[in-house]
Amino acid sequence: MQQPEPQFDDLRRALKLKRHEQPPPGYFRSLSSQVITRLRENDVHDRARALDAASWEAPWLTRMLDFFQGRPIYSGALGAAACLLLLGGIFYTSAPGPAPATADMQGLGTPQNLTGVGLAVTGDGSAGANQLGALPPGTTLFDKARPLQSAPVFSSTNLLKK
Amino acid sequence: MTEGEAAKSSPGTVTKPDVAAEMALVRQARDGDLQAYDELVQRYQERIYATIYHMTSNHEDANDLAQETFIKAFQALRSFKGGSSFYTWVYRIAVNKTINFLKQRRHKGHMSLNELDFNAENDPDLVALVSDKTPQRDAGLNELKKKLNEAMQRLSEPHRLVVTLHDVQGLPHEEIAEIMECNIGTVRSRLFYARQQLQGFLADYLK
Repeated sequence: MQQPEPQFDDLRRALKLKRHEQPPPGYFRSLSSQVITRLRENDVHDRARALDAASWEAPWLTRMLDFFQGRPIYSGALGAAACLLLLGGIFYTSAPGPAPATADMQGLGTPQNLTGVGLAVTGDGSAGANQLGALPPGTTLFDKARPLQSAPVFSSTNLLKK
Repeated sequence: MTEGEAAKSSPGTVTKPDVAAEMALVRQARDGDLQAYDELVQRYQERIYATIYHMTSNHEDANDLAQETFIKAFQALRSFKGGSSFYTWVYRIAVNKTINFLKQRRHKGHMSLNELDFNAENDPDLVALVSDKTPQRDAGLNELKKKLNEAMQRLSEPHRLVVTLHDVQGLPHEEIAEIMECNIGTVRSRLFYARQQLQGFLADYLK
């Protein structure tokens, strides 16, 4: 329970008078509308800032948008092309294609057979896109790398001997 | 509610907001409904403005801070969990903003008092104060008001806030403790100290 403090009665009465201090007439009618207006402006500014950020990070996007803006024919053509591409993609994926060549690949499943393939490539030197046939017969890429092995090796023991 | 009605209300007549309706408005505002938020602003703008004004003693500052308070509250609505009433929550934002502002103003060494409309000529409290108890009868209304504001500005921010919320606005100790995020004992002791200080500053006018 709050106890009254008689020594402050006059002060409390004086402080109550401050309740009579009022802002200009009509002020509260405009305060809430000012708040809402500022919130709407903030929202617009936020969107503008997002667009600015996008144009800074992806300038090509804004250039493209600028290009298409005011050119309905180009925009329509781009839209039509996108639609055709989409339809083509759907048609292509739904059409039955040739059976996958799994039968030929079945024999390659084991590691032994795979090593056989590897040997065949390095052995005859004529296979595939590696064009290993350019090497003389009987030589491999390892043979070319062999001279490098005779290069001096620097180690701490060599340095100490000097 | 008419202008200043809230500010004029006595401690016993502080109306508790309809919590369910308030929470519905808060939810709508949280979803971006500015009309709902407008209604919330209109509910509390007078009390928020009055608190800030009595803290700053300047209408322009109070106007700016009141607007910023409501804008900040809208932006932070998602963080409002409903642990306290929306009213208390907004009050807390207003108080923090005002205290920060006053600290900055103090550093800048700027302080201005300006005068709002003062229509208290017929208030019985004032009549009693001026005609019966004030020794300097010619001090009059405006001088008393001026001295009162000056004395308020000489208090520290927490003490001024407690006096504003309790003696000017009529909030109970419990609510002030919730707004200021301190215990009731602290509110009472600050209030006592602040009144003592004010009594000293206004000794010539009150005795």
